Parts: sequence; structure tokens; C-alpha cells
Amino acid sequence: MQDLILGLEVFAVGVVAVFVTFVLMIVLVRLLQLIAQVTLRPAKQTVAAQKGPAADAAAPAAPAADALPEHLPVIVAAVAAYMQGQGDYRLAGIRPLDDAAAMATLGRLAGPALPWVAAGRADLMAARTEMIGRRAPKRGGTAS
Amino acid sequence: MINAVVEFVQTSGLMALTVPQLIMIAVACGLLYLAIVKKYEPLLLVPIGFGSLLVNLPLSPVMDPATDGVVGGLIYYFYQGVALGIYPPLIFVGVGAMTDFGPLLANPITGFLGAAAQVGIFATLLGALALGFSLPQAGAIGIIGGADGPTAIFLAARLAPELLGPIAVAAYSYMALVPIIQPPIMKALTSAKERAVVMRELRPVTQREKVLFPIGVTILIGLLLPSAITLVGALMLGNLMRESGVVQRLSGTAQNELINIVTILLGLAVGASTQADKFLTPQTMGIIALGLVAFGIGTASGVLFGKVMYKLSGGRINPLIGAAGVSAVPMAARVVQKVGQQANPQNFLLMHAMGPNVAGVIGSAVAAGIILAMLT
Repeated sequence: MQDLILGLEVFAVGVVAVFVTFVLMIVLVRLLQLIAQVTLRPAKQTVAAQKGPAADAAAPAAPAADALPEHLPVIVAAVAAYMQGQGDYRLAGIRPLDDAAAMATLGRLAGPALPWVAAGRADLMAARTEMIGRRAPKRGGTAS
Repeated sequence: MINAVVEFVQTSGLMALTVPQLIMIAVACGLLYLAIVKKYEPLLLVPIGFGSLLVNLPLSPVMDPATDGVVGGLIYYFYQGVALGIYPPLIFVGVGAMTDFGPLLANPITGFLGAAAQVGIFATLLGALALGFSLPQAGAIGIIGGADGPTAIFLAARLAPELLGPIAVAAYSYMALVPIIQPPIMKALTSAKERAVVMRELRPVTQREKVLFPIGVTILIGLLLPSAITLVGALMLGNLMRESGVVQRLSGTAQNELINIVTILLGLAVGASTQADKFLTPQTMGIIALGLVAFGIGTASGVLFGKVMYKLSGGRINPLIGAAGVSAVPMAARVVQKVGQQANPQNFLLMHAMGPNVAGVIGSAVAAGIILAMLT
């Protein structure tokens, strides 16, 4: 009976301990991934480069690792704003178009941890599209 | 002259042959048949089967211990590598050097499947206790569920050396029987729709992640579970040699010469631990039956956790890959690939299954460390 009780203890503690170890290991892996993203070229660019120039052109623009230092002030401002509970990226003093690359970097680093980053990036994309639309030559209607 | 002949015949093995030895010789030949003809884990079963044959021949001196001034049998000395726990970590160095943790790094969440499959170890521990085994013996028997031969030997040598033979034979036999044992369990626990799920392509993993991973895991496990560091540390050393790229000669040696030499010594020593008088007991039958239960529960818990992940991920994770959580690298992953393709011929699950598969190697070593820490 004594052994059985001890066995149950080993079962309970053992299963929990294995899972806790794996939780920590997965956190470690995520951390390594972030380190690699910060210090190396982003994975998307690597894939695109492997697939050739055509794929590279089609790949979504990702922030170059070299640009990280110049994005740092915007990223720090954004994180500080988030930590203070501000619900919108604009309150952090981020300018939609000028800081698009910094926001993209932030998005890659923080991912879903900063919910308003996604919204901010969507706004940026919309602003970009609008600007491109304004600059683009008009098509049609000039045949005469 | 006739007396000399009679005396010679009487000292021959033929006269000393017993029925249990005869049975074990048949078992040894059966193992050799499975290895050579059926190609079931031949790298392991050839040395194990031959070791078993050598030790069960009557009056065989191969396992005689050293006594006052008399040198012991050859395999007795090989066996010290098992008894002292030297071979399993050396095998792990080789396994680490051959393992690509990339699939686990690319999709780390699948590591949980490697953890879930270890439930079989702890559940079987309870079953062994219910059958009357002592707690250390139950711990050593449960580890069969990890489907990891070196880990099973490592733990059995420390907790229940008297059961080492049956435990090692059961562990390696079930590893060889993965393609037969796992598919019915996998199919019984999943629907055709679940089995047909096509998983997204894995992201590329950078070299830096691969180099940092073994160092990070060694520090993490070393801090959390010092009792598991012998096996995990050996595994990660081998992997670091592979991924660092700066010691290719050492990595090559670990992947080839080292693991091959140790496999021969380990296989012979394990086979030689199946002496008829110690092996043919009701306990052995119990261990072999419990080993099957452990393996079955491990597979089932991996698949069931895979189903949970299937639900949570909105159907993006194929629950079959949970079966690869029992280590048995890479056979369990190959079985997943095969069963997955039966449901959807366009499905390629192999690399996705390698994540939980390599996580299972770490998981079983961690489970062994936990059992050692709690039972010693």
C-alpha cells in the first residue's frame, strides 16, 4: 500500500514535471528564435533568397536586421506606450508612413503580444495603398 | 582410453544442456531470424541474439565473473559498461550527433507530444506496482514505455539490475515492433478526417538556433533535473558537435565508429544478460506484458494529446504525429508518415513527426531522471 501511494506520487509529480520541463524548453526555443531573428537575416528573406530572385521580389517586405538600431527608438516608444496602457500606436508618437519599417520590425519581434501592432500595421498598409494610389498615373479615359 | 573419452564427453556442453537453455537457444535463434530474415532492427538484434546464444550454451564461460586470480569471461567485462552505466550515454552522444532538432525548433509546440507520450512510463509504473513489483523495479519497467533502449538500460542498471535482461530485451523488441504495435492504436483513436490533415510547411531554422539549442537545453535540464543530465548532456554534446560544424571529425566519429562499436558491446552484453536461469521466470513474462502496455499507453497518450492540439489549433495539427512522441527514432516518425499517407496519399507528415520524435528522446531521458530522482 505504501508503495502504491508512493507510486501515485511519482505518477503525478512525474507527469507534471515532464510537462513543465517541456514548457520551459519551448520557451527556450522561442527565445532562440527571437535571438536569431534579431541577429540574423529574417527567415522570410532567407527562404526567398533560396527560391531565387523572382520569389525575392514577390516576398513581403521584411525589415533588415541591419536596420534594427535605427528602429530602436520607435520600438522603445511603442513598448513604453503599451506598458503604460495606451490603446493605440499613434499615442506613442509613431507616424504611419515614416515608421512603417520600425512597426514591421516591432510586429515581427512582439507578434501577438502587442495586439495593437496588427491594427497599426493594417492602418499603415491602408495609408500606403492610398498614397500609391494618389501617385499612380491615371489609367483609361485619356484615349481621346 | 575409454575412460578418457567418457570423461571428455561428460565435460562437454552436450551433457550439461538443460531444457531452459534449449529454450533460450531457440529464443536467441528467433531473434537472429527476426534480424536477418525479417530485418527488424538488425543492428541491435544481431548482437543481442548472438550474445544470448553465447551465454546460453551450456558451460559457457563468456559471462563468468573474475575470481581470485582467474580472469573473467570476455562478455563479463563488456557487461561492466552496462552495469556502470557507461554505454547508454555513449550511445546518446552518437544519437545526438545523428539527430536534427530542426523540426522541433521549427514547430516547438509539437514538443508537448513528446511529453505526452511519456505518460505511458508513469502509468505502467503503477501497473507494475499492482502486479507486485517493488517501486524501483516498477520504475525500471515503466521506462520501457519510452521506447528508448539506452534509457531503459541506464535506468534498469541503477534501479533494478536483476531485471536488466528482460527490460532491455523488451525495450528493444518493442522498438523493433513499432510498425506492428502503433498503427492499430493510431487508427482506433483518430478519425479518417483527422488522419488526412495536411500540415503547413515548417519554417527554415537558422544555424544559430541549432547551435544554441543543445547548450540551452543542457543548462536548462541541468538546473531543473540534475539526475537527467548524464543522458541529456550526452545527447546534447553529440548534437552540438554536429551543429557547430567546427568538429566534423568528432561528429563523424560519434555518428559512425563510436555508436557502432558501443552498439556491438552493448548488444552482446544485453544479450548475455538473458541467461536461462534468470530470464525464464514468470517475472520476465510480466515485464514483457507490462512493456507492451507501457508502449501502448505511450502511443495512445501521444495521439490523444495530438487530438487536443488538433482541436486547439483549429484542425491544423494532424493528431497522428503524437504517436511519434515515443522516442524510437526515426521508426515512429516513419510509421506516422505511412499511416498518414494511407488516409491521404498527398500527405507528407515525416518531418512534422520528427519534431515530437526527437522531443520523445529528450522526454524519456527527462522521465528517467525524474524517476531516478524520486526513487533513489
